[in-house]
Amino acid sequence: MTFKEISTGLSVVVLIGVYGYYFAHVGAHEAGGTIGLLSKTVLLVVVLEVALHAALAICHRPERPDERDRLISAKGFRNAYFVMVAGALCAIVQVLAPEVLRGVPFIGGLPPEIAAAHVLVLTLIGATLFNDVSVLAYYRVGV
Amino acid sequence: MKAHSIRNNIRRLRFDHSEMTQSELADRIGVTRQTVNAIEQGKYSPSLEVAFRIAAVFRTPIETVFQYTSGKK
Repeated sequence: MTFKEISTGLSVVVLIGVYGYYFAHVGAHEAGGTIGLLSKTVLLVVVLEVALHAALAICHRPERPDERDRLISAKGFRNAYFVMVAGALCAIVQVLAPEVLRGVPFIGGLPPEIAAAHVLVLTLIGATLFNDVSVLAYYRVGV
Repeated sequence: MKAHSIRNNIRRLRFDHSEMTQSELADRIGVTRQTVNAIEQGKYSPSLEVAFRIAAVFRTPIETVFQYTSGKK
């Protein structure tokens, strides 16, 4: 496996683990508590990513990206763009018609403005995850 | 696996040239060893520039290295 593959796999694990915990507990917090929890979550993700990638760089020498790496990165980014667009549309719906997403688990019970913010957070995380999963698939299956 | 209509003889050519390793070939054409492996397995079609570099390493026409088969598998 290339350095990029391992790095991407680590990012997927960190994102799913940390943000999975966040969204499982966000509904139990008031608006102010939500902001605090989100801040701690982002900080935890940054610390974990830096630590894990530093350890990876020590154990596995990073290769200079070649044309295949650049092509896979570009295709992953393109796939993530579609998720971003879908999420942005959902955020618009949430702002203009908050009752539409009222039944959605985790965020449906939050105040509309907090729920809209979380739709955007979900969008960013979803897009990143879709990019990472696409990259892993292209490395394994071919591009 | 994605169906490619381009096949190659890189693995055989490597063995015919003093059992060149994938890493050695990768260093000479400017890609990673994993990319050479992906090309050999048909998981990736290289750019024209890389294809010509591969042919130049083996001192053989590019048609000897890569074969295009018309029609999908």
